[in-house]
Amino acid sequence: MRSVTDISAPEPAFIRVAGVRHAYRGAPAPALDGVSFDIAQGACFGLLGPNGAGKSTLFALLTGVRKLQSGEISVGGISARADLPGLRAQGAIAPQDLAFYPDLTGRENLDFFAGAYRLDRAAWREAMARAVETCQLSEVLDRRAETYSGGLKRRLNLAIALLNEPRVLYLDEPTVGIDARSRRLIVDAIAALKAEGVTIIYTSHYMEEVEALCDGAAIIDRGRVVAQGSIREIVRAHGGGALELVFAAPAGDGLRAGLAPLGAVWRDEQTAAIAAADGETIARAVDAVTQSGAPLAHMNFGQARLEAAYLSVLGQSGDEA
Amino acid sequence: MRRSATLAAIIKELRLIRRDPHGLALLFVLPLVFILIMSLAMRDLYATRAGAGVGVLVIDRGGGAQAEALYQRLAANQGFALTRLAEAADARAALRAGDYAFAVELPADFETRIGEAALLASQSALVRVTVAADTSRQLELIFNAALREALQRQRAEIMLTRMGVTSLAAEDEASSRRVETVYAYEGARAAAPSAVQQNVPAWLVFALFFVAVPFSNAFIKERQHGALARLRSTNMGAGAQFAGKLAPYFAINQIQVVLMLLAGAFLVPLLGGEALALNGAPLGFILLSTALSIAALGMAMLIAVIARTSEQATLTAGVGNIVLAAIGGVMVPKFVMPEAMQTLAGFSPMAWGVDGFLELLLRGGGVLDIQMELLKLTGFGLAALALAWALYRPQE
Repeated sequence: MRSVTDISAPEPAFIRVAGVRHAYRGAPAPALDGVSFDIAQGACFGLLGPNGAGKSTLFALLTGVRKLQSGEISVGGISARADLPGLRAQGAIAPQDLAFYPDLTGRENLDFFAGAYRLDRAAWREAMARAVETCQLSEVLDRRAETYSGGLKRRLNLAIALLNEPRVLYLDEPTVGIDARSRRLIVDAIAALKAEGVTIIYTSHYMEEVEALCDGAAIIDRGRVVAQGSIREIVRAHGGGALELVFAAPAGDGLRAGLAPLGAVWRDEQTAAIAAADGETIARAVDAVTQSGAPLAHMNFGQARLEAAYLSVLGQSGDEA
Repeated sequence: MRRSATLAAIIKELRLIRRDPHGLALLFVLPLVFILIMSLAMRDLYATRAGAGVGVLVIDRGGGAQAEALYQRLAANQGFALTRLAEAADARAALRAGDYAFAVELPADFETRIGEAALLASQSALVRVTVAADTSRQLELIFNAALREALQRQRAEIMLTRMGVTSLAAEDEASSRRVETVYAYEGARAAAPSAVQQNVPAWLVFALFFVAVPFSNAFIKERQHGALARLRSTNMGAGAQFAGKLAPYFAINQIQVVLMLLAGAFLVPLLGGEALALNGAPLGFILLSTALSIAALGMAMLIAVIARTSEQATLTAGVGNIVLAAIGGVMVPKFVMPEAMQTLAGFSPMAWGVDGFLELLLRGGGVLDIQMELLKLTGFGLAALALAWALYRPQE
């Protein structure tokens, strides 16, 4: 197994995850296996990884939805093991699923969740007004949520999480499947919350968002942290020299077999990425493409971006499995 | 002062229920339709069961004392409900309408022929009986035997009077004591319900348990939307979540009880049925409907927690309710079931509810008379809720 790149947060840890292991009954392997990282107060931290990597389990443990089996989690000095209600009160989650009631209006949803958070009677209207303003929902507040567009639904999902003015905000793919305007609005809202000092843990498959918003990140694969540190450090360590191949038609078995020894990671049916490609790797890749007869549309080389680093880390992690 | 999470959950649930008119209709219209249809359709069956006499028309062409004596003799038999009619043609129409089983025609010469010694040798009939098309052969034989016995007694009395014996009252009085009737199972004929007394409580109990369908579906939708997972990340505990669900449906159950009883008392008679008489202690009704609701909601909550999909919940709640209703005396009254089935019915919470209502409505019972039903329903409901709680809590 490749050693994990471990770049600790320079500030004192506000969120501490240490040696967390979690297994589901009947599952062949643990969902999380010795996960550790620290996050400074006010930081925006990206939690990256493919589907099934263990991100949702980690969110469930951080938000107190599931009980800790082994290891330690503390948020703002409150231990998940010692004070689960206290841990829950620190944060709020905007889950990937649209976790509200489609049959209720936006206002009724906010009203109910304000009750669920047991907000102070005097303060809850103010908190609701702030959440509505941040997510720009005032014009649709009295419409049933089921009539909202995808973007509005995501904004309501976020607004509910803002009701209890959390110290930590857990955002699980908050911009997935929505239009560009709503996406921009949500990203801006998250940036504003970060500027206000809210600590944010953020998962997304949109690496440009993570790059723009997050100070640091951890990449998780099959329940283990395979890389972590500041965004710049992760990119510098893993993102250089990536080769991206884009084909005009879905790749066949011959092409996939030809590129597999080079550690190619397929982003979709027509796009492959090879991490840390040197001159020899590029030559072998071109040779494999030529032999397979696949129609190459274009190729990019040398983009030092988080996405390349992410793919590189996952490619190497996959090789070792 | 902090907002109450339980109150917020109750308000949310009431709003969701209000937005689901189909679910509400299912809870109120379905049992109401069953009550009306079954009360009216089974009116005659239950009336016969409860001891109402077989309808008999009597056409007396002579109008003499002997004809009147025969009429009174037949009328004294509680198995028959006699009605006088002037024309035989009207009798045929009445028999075809299904309101009567027999028409007895007493000819004009009945007055003289009944006492004639020559009647022994006569080949012509003394009275004529017309039988309705839907009258069973068994009933026809019983009626004919009763009519022949009445005619023989009347002739015997005429003969004895001629011989100087003037009164047979002591003999009549003594004969009523010579046959003792006992019943194979308790209370069945002693207090058989009418159609409305049976069907209102039966379908009312069914309706209360039927809340399991919308209740469990609402719970599963919350889980599928991710709302329950989000709630677990707040400090809104399972207690507030359970209370938020149970309280509105408890209120719905109580409204169902009031509306169904009112329908039995006022709507069924408007459509030609018998009015439901609200006998029994009011406190008994309140405690019984509360216990029934605890049982119904306990079962609903258990199904909601166990089922993973709406399909599973609908199937479990729907089929489960129908089975409990079938064995519990809702669809088929317990008193017509064989003894083995009646024993089986004792395991259905619906049977406990129906028995409790019948005790109140039929026998004018009080709280003490239904204490076993109250205990069984409450115990069942609390056990189901405890199990649901135990299964739900680890998921928190």
